[in-house]
Amino acid sequence: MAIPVKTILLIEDDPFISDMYARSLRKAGYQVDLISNGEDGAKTALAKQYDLILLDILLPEKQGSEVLKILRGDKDLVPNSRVLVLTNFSQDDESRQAMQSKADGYLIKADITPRKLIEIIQSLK
Amino acid sequence: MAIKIHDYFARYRSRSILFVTLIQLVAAALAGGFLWLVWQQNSDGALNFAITVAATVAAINLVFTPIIWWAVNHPTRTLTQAIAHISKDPVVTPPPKLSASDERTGLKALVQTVYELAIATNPKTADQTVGTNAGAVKPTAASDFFQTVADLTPCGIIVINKQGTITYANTAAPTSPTPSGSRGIDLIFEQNNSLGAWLSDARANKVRDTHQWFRVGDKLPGEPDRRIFDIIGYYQKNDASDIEVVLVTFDRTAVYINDQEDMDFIALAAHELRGPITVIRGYLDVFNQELAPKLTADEHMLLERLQVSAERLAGYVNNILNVSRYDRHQFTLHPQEESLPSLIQSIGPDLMLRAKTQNRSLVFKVSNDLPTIAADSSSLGEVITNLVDNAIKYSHDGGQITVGATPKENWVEITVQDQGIGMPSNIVGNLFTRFYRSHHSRQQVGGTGLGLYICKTIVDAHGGSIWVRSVEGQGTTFGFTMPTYASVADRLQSGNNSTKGIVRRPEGWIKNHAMYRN
Repeated sequence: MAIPVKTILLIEDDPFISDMYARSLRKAGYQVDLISNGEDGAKTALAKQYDLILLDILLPEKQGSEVLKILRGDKDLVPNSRVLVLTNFSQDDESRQAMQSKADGYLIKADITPRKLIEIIQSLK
Repeated sequence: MAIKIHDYFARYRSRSILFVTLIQLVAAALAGGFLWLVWQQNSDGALNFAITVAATVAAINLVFTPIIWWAVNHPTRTLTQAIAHISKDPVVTPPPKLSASDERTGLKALVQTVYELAIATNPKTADQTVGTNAGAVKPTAASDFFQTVADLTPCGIIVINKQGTITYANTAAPTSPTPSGSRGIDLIFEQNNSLGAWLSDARANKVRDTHQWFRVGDKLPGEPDRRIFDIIGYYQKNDASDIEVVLVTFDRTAVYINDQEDMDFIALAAHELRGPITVIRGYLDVFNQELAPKLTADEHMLLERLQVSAERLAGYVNNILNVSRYDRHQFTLHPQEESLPSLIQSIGPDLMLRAKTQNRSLVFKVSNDLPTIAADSSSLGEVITNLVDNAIKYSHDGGQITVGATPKENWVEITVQDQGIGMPSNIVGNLFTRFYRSHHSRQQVGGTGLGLYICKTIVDAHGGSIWVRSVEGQGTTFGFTMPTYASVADRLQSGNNSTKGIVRRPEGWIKNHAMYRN
């Protein structure tokens, strides 16, 4: 059964990319917040407990991997959120790191059009 | 010996004779000319003097030429015979005969040194030492000397006999003792380019052979103190000798580590390229959704062309990244049970659009009741995409491309067929080489030459094989095999507990919590 996603936090420093996804996600009816650095991203994610967090890896202030460690390090501080790493790094090291840091998925941005992203969100189980 | 030593000596001898004869002719001509000049002077005293001089020159010439000739020719021939004898030259087999005078001149000592050196490098030569005249040459400290020299060189030297046992390895050679008391080679060869594979090929088909390996590590990537070698192997079929294979290894760790940094740069550059590609593909997708109903047919076609181009660009970047990962031995697959029809369903629309915008028709003949396969869906998608792209490139306007799949015992064979320009058989063998581009492609079509190389890499990594059949002017069919899931299921499950509940997609992976958290 698909899980219902209503609120989404997009942590992404490239304004074009974040606008691109946000535009389509909002149009599809999701409530989307945008944060452009890791430090604020982690704080906001903890404070507001989103249904879904989309997390870039290369971020100012704090890398995406560090944000993941804060959220899901020793203890899962966002138990009701799904965290999808959304990055253009496809090295296996990064992928393994994301898995070890307990992300819920790892997607290559260049291959994820807004439409595909919505499909994936709708199919989350 | 590749060069016949005897032939070399024969050439040396004929050249020497020619040279001495030339000098004699010049001397005779000079003497004759001198005589003629004096004759013209018409003076008796001078004529007598000149005849005396000319006669003396001729006498000296006659007496000393053979002496000089013998002094040069004899030692050269003796040495040549000795070397020919040691190396079993088919023309000159008897050992050189040495006389008492050779002992005085030191030639005997020289020949003995040659035999000693030969014994030091190949103990078997001791059985057929120099003839009785020269006296027996015994192994000496020379072998210890060479052992020391070999241990001082930074190159590794490994000698292997017919039984496959290492009979010699110097200090620098990447070998270590095995539990059975012999030595083993610490090198991790690639599966399809291993020492064993080369050796069995050489044993079956060759008398002599040389082979090179590059970037062979002694440990797996990531292990500490890993060294990376280039290796040259020499094989010689030799029933009598204990030496069948000599491997020389060069420690190139320092060079390849730098290379690795270059590769990291490629990965980083590709990451940078993907940023704008994300934006272009994404906004085109938005455009397509929002504008499509309002566009004229012509405008719609332009939009589709933009979309296809952006997708191809993304594909090229993926190819470059794959090659860079493969070259760094960081290319890992995550094979899972996959259904080919559903993979085709996910990548099909993009491929159809690609074909359509370039005025080709693309047909999928993939039956829904195929057995599931064990594949990394993202990599398999890249193989099919590359082959279809290739078929589009090398086919005619309006041509048809057919993607088919047939089960074959433990495999599913996937084919991509075009009715395009085809290619001559002589270039087919090179197709899967990196950066290889055919004669047509260099003239007519652009591309990086990476596509087929990465296809082969991915198919090989799945344990499958890739082939091509082509008729010039009629078209080309590429085919490759993927293992059925049933044939490898037990192997996959045993090593893959950590990835249970992971759903892989062409764009990445997602955890399926319905499976994962229970």
